[in-house]
Amino acid sequence: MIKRVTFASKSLPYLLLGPQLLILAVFFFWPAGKAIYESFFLSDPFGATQIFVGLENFQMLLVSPEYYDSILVTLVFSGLTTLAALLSGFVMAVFADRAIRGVLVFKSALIWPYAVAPAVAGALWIFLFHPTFGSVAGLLIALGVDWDPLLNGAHAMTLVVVAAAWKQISYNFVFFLAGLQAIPKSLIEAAAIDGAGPGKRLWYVVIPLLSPTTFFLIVINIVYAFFDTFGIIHAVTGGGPAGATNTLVFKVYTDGFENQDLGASSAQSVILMFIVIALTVLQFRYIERRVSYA
Amino acid sequence: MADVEIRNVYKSYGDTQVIHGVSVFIRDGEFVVIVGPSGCGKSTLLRMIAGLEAITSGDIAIDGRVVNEVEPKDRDIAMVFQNYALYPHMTVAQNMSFGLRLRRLSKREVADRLRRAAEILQLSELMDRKPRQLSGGQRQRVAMGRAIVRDPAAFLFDEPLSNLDAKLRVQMRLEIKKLHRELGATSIYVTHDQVEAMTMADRLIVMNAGIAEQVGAPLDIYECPASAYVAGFIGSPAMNFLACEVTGDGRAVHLNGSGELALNGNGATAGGGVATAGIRPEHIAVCGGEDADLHVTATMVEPLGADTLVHGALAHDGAAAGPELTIRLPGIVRIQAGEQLPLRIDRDRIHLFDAERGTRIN
Ligand SMILES: Nc1ncnc2c1ncn2[C@@H]1O[C@H](COP(=O)(O)OP(=O)(O)OP(=O)(O)O)[C@@H](O)[C@H]1O
Ligand SMILES: [Mg+2]
Repeated sequence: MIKRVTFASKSLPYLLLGPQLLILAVFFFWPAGKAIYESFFLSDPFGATQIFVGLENFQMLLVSPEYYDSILVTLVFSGLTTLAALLSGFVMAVFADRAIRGVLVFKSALIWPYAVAPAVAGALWIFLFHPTFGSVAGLLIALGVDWDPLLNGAHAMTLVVVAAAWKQISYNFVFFLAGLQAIPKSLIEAAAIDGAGPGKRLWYVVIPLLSPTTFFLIVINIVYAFFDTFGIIHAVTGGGPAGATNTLVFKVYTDGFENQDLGASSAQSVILMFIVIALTVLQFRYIERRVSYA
Repeated sequence: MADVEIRNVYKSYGDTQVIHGVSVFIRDGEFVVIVGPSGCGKSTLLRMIAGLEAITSGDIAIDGRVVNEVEPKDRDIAMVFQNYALYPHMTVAQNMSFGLRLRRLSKREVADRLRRAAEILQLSELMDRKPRQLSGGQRQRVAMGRAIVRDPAAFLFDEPLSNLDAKLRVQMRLEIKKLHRELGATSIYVTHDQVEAMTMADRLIVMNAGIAEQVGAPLDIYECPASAYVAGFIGSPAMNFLACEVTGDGRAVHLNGSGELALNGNGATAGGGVATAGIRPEHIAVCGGEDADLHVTATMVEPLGADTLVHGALAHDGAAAGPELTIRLPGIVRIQAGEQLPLRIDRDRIHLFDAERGTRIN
């Protein structure tokens, strides 16, 4: 039975929900509505004149090679970031789970990156990897790597992936560690007696049992890489060189604010909005049906 | 199949020692039960044999080979856990065959062994289910199956029946015993249930606070417990303990207010002084007034059908005052609470223990 709360006054529920609804209206529904509206118009840079063009903004996008480049960049960037963040978080969690004693220190040290703002994280990585004054970059160059993320697209991509993944590792670590600690110790012991060494125990017992956590984190990390990395890209590469790190979200910004093409920018936001909704639905459906191996 | 030797094994966690030097030799094919109260170190000892806990000092040898530094997977043992520890993401068949597949047995061999184990344990219908779709008893069987398909040198059980209801426990107890008779593999079984211990064991290890107090056949331990601790632990209801005085020649005792009771043939090793007399509830009978050694006032009567338990207080000068006593009378006996009962003690079966150290002295 679901407990129902009954209010004496009819207006109280509206009053209680009011602030939340207001915030949603002002910061979400209004801009979202505006974006959908704008996506059907062609505006001049100063917003003085607007011509209704129907779906033309979308049609333009779908024939624009730059847009497809950006989709590809986004896929590569999100895929690599998710992979790197998940793998690193997982490996660290496995180590921490083994050395349970040091875990408190370890855990708090690893959670810090998550508290760092994206732009700051970006600045940090720029300082380390800038071809002229970065310390790690200096090391790379000394080692004979022709390191230049300002000119080389692959290097730039590597840099933003590392910076973006670094910020997400701590989050993944905490979830993986919690997942690992929820696996009954006797299962691992049973596998050890059954003849599995550490590697096989990981592969045949631990990883399958962690799959709910892993799936949840994959969705979270993809959403993060898609939508929450604007600050990092802005600070580290600014979408360059030559669009090599120009993700969909970053392109919305450059088209809208730098190229002043509000219609195209709005159309892109609308598409992104649908992607977010799809991912969110996936995540919710999944979390609701979250398999429990009790 | 193999023998298991435990030689002077100690175990410490940090500064706390929990096993204080245990030595036992378990023969090939023997069914040995380790019994003792919670926290006495039964699981710890078993887990050291399995290789799941490091041995602080001493040696454990399986089939003559010292295994202190050998990984669990190379000890050729199988273990059944209290919570079964079935892999939740694998079917029954996969659970049972996991160890075989890891050992790279041929597909045919695996299938053969699975089929045989499934038949023995009546699991054939359940092979494709996941553990969560099984009842407690069925999970228990799968855990057993996972152990027997491996055909290991020794089976280790850590309270495998304690999550089952009373009826199923009795049934599984018999099945495990039967299985042992068929397979004849060395088995080491941990329990805190003394009925399981008495009925299943070829030999019993009674543990107390990290030491093996007594090792022997269940009935030998019942008839001749080495200490007051063992005497009180084995047997249900528990043995009665009464303070007594041993006569100078050690041939007789005076119980609390009783006359002289001659200790037929099992006199004390030393005469004189106080001691603790242990008398099992089943070795006390109600008798005619003139033969009585003691009188009790019944305080509570528990009719069990097959026998009747009477709890009473020793009467002293007519008033109920002395220590509590439990008496087990065969069959149905109609006794009311408050009744005075004249009792006679079986003189051949009085156990004497040192009043301080609790060690047996007759
Ligand atoms: N990992 C550990 N660290 C510290 N002490 C431990 C650890 N494991 C067990 N102990 C201690 O060792 C003693 C023996 O524990 P053990 O689990 O062997 O008891 P047991 O006889 O199996 O009890 P039970 O019947 O409750 O299972 C206990 O006092 C326990 O507190
Ligand atoms: Mg235990």
